[in-house]
Amino acid sequence: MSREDIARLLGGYATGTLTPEEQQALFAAALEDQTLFDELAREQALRDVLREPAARGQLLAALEERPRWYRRLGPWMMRPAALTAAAACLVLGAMAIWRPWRGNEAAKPAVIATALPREAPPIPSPSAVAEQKTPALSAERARARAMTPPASRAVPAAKKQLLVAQETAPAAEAHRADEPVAASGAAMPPAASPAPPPPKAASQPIVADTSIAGRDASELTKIMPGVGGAPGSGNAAVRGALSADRLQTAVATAPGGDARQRYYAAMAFAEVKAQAETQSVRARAQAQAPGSQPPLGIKWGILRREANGEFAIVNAEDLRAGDTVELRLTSNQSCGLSVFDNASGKLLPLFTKQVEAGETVDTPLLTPGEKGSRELVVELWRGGNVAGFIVSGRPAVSREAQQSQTDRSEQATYTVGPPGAQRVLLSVTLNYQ
Amino acid sequence: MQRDEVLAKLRERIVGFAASHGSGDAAEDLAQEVLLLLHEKYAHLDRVEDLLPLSFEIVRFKMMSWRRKAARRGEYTQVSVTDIPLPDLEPSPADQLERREMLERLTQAVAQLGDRCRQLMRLKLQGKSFAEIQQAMGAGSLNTVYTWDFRCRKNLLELMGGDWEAPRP
Repeated sequence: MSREDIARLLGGYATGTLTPEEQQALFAAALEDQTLFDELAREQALRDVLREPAARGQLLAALEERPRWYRRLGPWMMRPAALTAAAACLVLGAMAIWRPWRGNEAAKPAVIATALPREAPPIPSPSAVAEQKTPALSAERARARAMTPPASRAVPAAKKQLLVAQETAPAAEAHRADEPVAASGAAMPPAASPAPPPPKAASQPIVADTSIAGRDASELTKIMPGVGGAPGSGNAAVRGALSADRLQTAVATAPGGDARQRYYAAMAFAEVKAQAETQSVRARAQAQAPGSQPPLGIKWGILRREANGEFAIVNAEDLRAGDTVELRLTSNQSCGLSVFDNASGKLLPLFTKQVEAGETVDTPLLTPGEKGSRELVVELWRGGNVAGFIVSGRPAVSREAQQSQTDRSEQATYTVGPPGAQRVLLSVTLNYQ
Repeated sequence: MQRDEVLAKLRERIVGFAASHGSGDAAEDLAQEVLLLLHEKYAHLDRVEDLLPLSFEIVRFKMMSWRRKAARRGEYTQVSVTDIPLPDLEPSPADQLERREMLERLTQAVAQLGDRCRQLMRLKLQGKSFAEIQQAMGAGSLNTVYTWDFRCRKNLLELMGGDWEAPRP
């Protein structure tokens, strides 16, 4: 029996379990081995206790009892592996409880008082309004709409505003003879405001001021710092009010620019003004001020029916006897529009109509059969003062309202009245060769 | 092995054991006292199976007595060997008290043993030999029972705090 085998007999010494042979082997080994002897000597205390029958009985009674679960678990739990496993289970259990709890917390609606910014009601784009308000044109007249470039109908409202500001930007010291008026605003209802058509190539003589044509918004801002709201400042209503104020100032103070520019500037101003009017009391108050009305203007052109039956834009000097012509009129404001024929020295009304801003109206067809001049008188007015010149029998053409030079790029002519004018008269002379 | 040879080996082992358990310089004296007692009172014993357990008991008794005296007087070496009375192997009241305390600790410890160790301990306390325990527990071999008993003893000793007797101040 080896030393290790003999050492396994130690447990039997105290209880007297060893057989004589085992005991002899153990003792003999203990005499030779100090360690084994020491261990055996320490077993003597247990042996002394277990020698008493009463002590044995007590221990046997303790061993017969079924150990309580926690007492049995105690030694096992003291092992490192068991401790590690218990800690891992504890962590996993905590996570299993915590994660669903967190999920429920996240699923609960947060009771937080929030003040959402009130959005301004959507404002239909002027182009859309114009499309809705413009009556359906006949196929013949629709073809003649080439007079108005498509770009002007497709330009978004914001772009139009910038373009209008561009038009108002150049500052001239004195009015040109064909640009007699400086516009000023007036309160106007929401109206469509087609952007001025872009100037055409230099092959065609363009009288209109193109000094700002093609400039972008950043350049415009440098030129006219007061025009256009500060980007990103406030909501749409505030920006609209600011834009209205600044645009009004720009229109009123910009001394330069021709009638075409002021025509569109006043139209855009009316649009912005209308937006601000719906959202700002301040803008409404300003709109009601006498001096804040935008200038009244009209864009007009002469259409002639060609041999193929279609109408084409022509100059007043290019007409021939027997041509069938008509006037195409577009006001920049909502106003009354009347056209009179002065060919016979007596004003004969051709038609009278209340038009909206940007609405295009054609006069009845005119077919003079002989050479010579024929004068048509066009009157724009605000309010109900329709009979002003009719009673006089002869239109008193305002000295301020003068016709601008024809913009040959558009083959249209712009005429704009003075600021605050309630009536604008226009004389169109048709020269039949 | 002759009696003198056994006593010589016993003396060597007792000195080593006493020295390693704090007796220090008294280890030789302790061994001498044990041998003297064996020679004077147990002269009729000559087998190692009888002398060794008896010497263990005397050594333990002597060491406990020395510890008590040292704690009471604060002395360790002032008692002459010739003044040490021959031990009365009957348990004194102090011995009985220590045994009761040890029994209580032992009872608590065996209650925490595993099923196999509890069964093995029960069979041992019932006076079964390892061979009988092998049959009772259905062990494959006697060495298996030895191994089980060795592990159970080690487990029980750990539950007792590493020593059968209570730690002394």
